Amino acid sequence: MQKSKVKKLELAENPVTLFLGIPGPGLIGTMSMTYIIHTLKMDLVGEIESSPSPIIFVDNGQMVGPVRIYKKDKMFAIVSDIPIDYDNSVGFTESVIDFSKKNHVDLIVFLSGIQVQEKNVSNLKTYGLVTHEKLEKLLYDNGIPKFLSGVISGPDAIILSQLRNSSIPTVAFHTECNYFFPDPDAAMQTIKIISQIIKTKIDLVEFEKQVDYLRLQNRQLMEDTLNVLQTQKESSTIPPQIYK
Amino acid sequence: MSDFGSFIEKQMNSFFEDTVFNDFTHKELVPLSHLNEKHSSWILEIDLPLVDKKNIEIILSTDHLSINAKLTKTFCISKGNVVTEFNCLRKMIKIPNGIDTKQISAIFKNGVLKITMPKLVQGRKIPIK
Repeated sequence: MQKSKVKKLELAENPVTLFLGIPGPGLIGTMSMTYIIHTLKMDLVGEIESSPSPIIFVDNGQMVGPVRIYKKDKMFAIVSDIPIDYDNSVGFTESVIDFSKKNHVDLIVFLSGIQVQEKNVSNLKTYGLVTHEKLEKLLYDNGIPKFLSGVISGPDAIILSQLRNSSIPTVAFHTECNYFFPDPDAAMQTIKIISQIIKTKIDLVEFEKQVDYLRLQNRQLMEDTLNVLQTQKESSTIPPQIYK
Repeated sequence: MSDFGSFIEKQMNSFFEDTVFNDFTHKELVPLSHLNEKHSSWILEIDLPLVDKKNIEIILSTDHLSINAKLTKTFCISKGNVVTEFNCLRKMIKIPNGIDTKQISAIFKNGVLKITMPKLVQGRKIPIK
């Protein structure tokens, strides 16, 4: 007999929350999380290790890995500056789940983008997808429409599948974006949603000043990310979009 | 530059160190682009941030499109003590076969140049017996 997928839980009033931002469509996850980490002055508390790391950053003489963990109060953030490819996505998610269990995380929030043909920059939408029924209240309370139907593919799908099968409640936010180019406008929309969720005002003035530069600076990361996403697209017969 | 700005720059400079981009010495950047085939046309999109419409030049040759765009501000990347300045974005793209080159059109919106290349309509009608 198959296991029932219907899960119910009571989410804590002020849950320990882990935000996950990795390179994906429009680089939404990485750009939004990077800005929030710096705006909220979150502390670097660890790294997700993959062996061997394909890149190391040097900051003030300190070596830091590409997938890092930050913390402030009851909020954790994991941000990656390299695409998580197929070979690494299972190990990556296992590490995220392991970290979440050890740190008593009540809720994981996964940030990504969804392709739209003609997007309205002044009215971008974010859609929510939840693993537990009770989390729908979180969407309702924050005026976030549900991701009703469609397909999620690529490493995002592997990560979300594993999170769904774990015992940790997860909500995924997909913001309308340009799939192929860094999309700071969509990242800003995602930041607004996070701001609502954590009930903390996040000033976007600094981000708005950097919009054009972010698009120029992130060209290589976008190209690397598309190479990862394209690998899967070739073996998929269903386009990764569609929603109502 | 703000904390966020310098953080981003620092990160991306490290990233660029060993990347495939070899445009540093030419002082021009290669923009991202995406070519998509539709039923009756090909759509080419090119990401041109920090660019004004009046500073974009599209040149059509026999089988290539050349896009040159001057940046409104100089974009700098610093590596150690070396600062490299970039003033334009440039890309040459081979156009697909079977394009009606006289009907090629372009629009520029939100920093993205969209070039529509209609396919040639040719052939003859085949009657059904």
